[in-house]
Amino acid sequence: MEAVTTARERLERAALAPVTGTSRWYYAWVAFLLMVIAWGVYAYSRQLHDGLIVTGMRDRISWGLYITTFVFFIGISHAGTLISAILRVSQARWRTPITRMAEFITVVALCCGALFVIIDLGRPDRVLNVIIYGRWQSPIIWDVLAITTYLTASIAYLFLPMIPDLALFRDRLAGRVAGWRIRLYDLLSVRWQGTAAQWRYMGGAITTAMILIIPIAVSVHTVVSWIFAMTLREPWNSTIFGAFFVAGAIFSGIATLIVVMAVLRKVYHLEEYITEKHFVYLGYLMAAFALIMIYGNISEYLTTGYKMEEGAEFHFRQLFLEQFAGFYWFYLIGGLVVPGLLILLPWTRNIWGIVAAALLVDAAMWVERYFIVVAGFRVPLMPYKPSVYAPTWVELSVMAAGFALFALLITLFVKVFPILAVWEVAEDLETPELAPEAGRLPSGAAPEPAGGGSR
Amino acid sequence: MKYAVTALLLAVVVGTAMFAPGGTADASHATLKVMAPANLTAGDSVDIQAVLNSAHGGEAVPGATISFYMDGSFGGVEGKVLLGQAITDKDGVAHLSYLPRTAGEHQVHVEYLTPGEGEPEVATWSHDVSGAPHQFYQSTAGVQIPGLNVWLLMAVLAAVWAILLSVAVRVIAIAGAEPEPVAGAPASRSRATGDW
Amino acid sequence: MGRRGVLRLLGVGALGIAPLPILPSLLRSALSGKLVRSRGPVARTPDGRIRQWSMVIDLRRCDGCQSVGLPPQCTAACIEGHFGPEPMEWIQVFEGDLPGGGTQFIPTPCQQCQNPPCVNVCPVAATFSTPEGTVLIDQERCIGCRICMAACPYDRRFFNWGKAPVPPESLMADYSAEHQVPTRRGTVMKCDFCPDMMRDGVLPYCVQACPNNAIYYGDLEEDVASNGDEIIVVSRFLSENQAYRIKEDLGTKPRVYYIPGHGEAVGRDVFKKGRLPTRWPWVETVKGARTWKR
Repeated sequence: MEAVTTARERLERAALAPVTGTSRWYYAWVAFLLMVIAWGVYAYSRQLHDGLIVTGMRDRISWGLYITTFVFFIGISHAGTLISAILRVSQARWRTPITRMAEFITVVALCCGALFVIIDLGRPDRVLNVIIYGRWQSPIIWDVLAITTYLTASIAYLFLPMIPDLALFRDRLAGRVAGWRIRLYDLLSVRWQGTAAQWRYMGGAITTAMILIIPIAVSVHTVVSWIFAMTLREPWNSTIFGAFFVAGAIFSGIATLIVVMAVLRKVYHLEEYITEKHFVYLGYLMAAFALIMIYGNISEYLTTGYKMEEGAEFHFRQLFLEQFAGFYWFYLIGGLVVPGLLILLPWTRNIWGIVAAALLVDAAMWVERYFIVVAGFRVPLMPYKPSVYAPTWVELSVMAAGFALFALLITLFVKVFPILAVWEVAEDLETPELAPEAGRLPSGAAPEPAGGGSR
Repeated sequence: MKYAVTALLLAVVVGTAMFAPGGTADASHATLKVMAPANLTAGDSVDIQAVLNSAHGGEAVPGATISFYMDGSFGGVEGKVLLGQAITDKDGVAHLSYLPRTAGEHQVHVEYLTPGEGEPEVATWSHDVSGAPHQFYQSTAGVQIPGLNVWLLMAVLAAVWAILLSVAVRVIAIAGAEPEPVAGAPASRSRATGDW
Repeated sequence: MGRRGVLRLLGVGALGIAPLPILPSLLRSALSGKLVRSRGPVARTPDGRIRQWSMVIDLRRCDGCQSVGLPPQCTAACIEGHFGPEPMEWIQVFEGDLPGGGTQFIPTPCQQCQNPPCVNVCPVAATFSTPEGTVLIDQERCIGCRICMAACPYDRRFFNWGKAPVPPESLMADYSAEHQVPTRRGTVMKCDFCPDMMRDGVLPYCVQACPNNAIYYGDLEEDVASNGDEIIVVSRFLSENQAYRIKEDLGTKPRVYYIPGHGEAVGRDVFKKGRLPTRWPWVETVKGARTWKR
């Protein structure tokens, strides 16, 4: 009993630490991010003033960095769905320390992604037309509906399991932090007292949300892929876009989660709760999805290339041999094969190797969206010379600001909200299981089954 | 002198009679006749038959090109509109399919240009088209599959949002739940943060 | 009231979401009377049937204006009539390759599809099909998302990336979706088939300007078309001359038909390649004109 209470106290302290103490590095990091965002806001103001002519997009290649980044962010928003929902449905106990981060990445990524669509509009002053005059038959409207539904569901799904932890904050932090925060925790913990009835309500709500959010998430990236697949352009006129994009989204979501997890674990000393086991399990999932992505690539390019319809020949030449070859082979080798190897080979299957793999995957998935958009546009539709797309400083600045905003929101979240799902981790600790052992797996050992109780 | 004048007058009269215009055209080499109904309904296609016979002997002239014209105006241009050309068969009959679209009185001119002649032979077919105006041209785009439309999307969306709302309802229920009597500090703390 | 009561009440509220799809329509009728503004009445035949505008382009007569030694006149007239900004060529003369090495010139206006990919994907119905079968754009409603440009398989849509260089007189025109003057930054434009002119019985700029009378503009409902010189019966003209449409297999069902050829009717040799580049008259007159490449 004594040992468990101490473990619980350590857990609570770990969860409360980020909220109570702020280091200088934190302020420096936030200041840096704010500077990047400010520069991006200036770049966007130039775009509002002069029009989209300040970007590199033109009639022939009319989408570029903005839509690429939009698709990328919506893609990584699938982190929360996979980790929280799918692993919760399958009752994988090892998920408990990372569910909160995963859910928050989802919410932040959705907000940043939606922002990029609005940035890409030629007339952002008319964005309300989408609501007033929206057509149900348009893929853009499907995007709007799916993303708002997913955002609402994700916020609900972030908030619900956080209620007991917010109650913990409310109880523990009185007098230790600013008054507005206590009021915030008080409000958000909706008078949680831990009664049996409240546990029942919350449990029912979480169950409903976790089952509902999986088809919503699948539909989100499917309809995002359909803004391409509902057109008649040669590289996009494919029926597998929906499935391919969903697989890619989950893939990049896992990678982003690994990266964020590694950073937060390091900064806030969560090594006791986020262990190598978590990285390895997520790594296995990532490797599985890498294989699915390789399968998707083979499916798409073999069936198109075997027939070589008009336009396919041009696209293959530009994608595999000429203008976009660097991008494609980096994506295939650096983003699918190498991370797969890093995870599957025992010598690199450690935290460093897996985080490196995740960084490669994130970069490669952004590159993949880039050549899907730009190379897709570049295939000529009529007899004219193909154009070239070169992003300008405005697009690069706004994109950097978008990533900085993503990082900033996570940074701020960590300051205000509990970074670990305390009650879930505690429940995991308290359940009598095998004797706790050191967090590091001996190399070469097979990983334990998901229900294992080692920390 | 009197006889010469009479003969001249007679020649003029006979000559004029030979060239008199009428429903059929008399020329030195061929006569052209049109056979087609006089009353038509808009939207029903008819077969216009133009019969070409030689002037002497009246036998059929095969292999001749007959042109069918109407007068029309469109886009500020007025003039003859060529409805089509047809070649006479061994019976001297040229067929053209014609679909009247507009109600009212119309005329179709049938022309044959004898090789070597300067003036074409023209026959006119006047006809009356009746029938209320209705759109002839229908776009063939699209397939209607019953039930597969936006209402399905709306229904799915409404269902999802209703479920989300039920989740929100439970949150309110959490807030509204009556607190249990406090049994001692440690017990309630453990209940509040993890016992489920 | 108790938990159950609250739950029941909110359950009823859940049913209340179901009519939410109607909300946009309520907003629309509150804010404006009609769905799309700024176009004239439907064009009709004398006996009241709705006109079905179409074009037939006789490629046997199109030589890219090589014989007159000028840039393509259809494009030039359209630019002049609409104060078209550089680099927009709403009717663009492409030079396509023929088997054997020769080329043909293909004047390509908006194909006015009957299954238009652009109309299908527009989120706000800014581009729409009319009863006459044309596809128009309402620049007052376009949000500039450019998914229509991704969807058009004929490269016929143009975006106002910046403030387009147009002469000052264009700014005094009354805007109409049928005559897109003046331009609006941040919106999409394209050939509008000049329905405002045809309603008054005047042939469009490109039809009038062609020196070889290669472009016929017609009405499929009345089955007539004219190139400014003669009137033809469309159905027969198309069938007898092996008419085709561009990218027929995509299923867009365009209203623009082509008669195959390479300008032979006006004496062009099929191996004589090249046409003069299009010019926009006002770039010099508009101060600080900033144009872009397509």
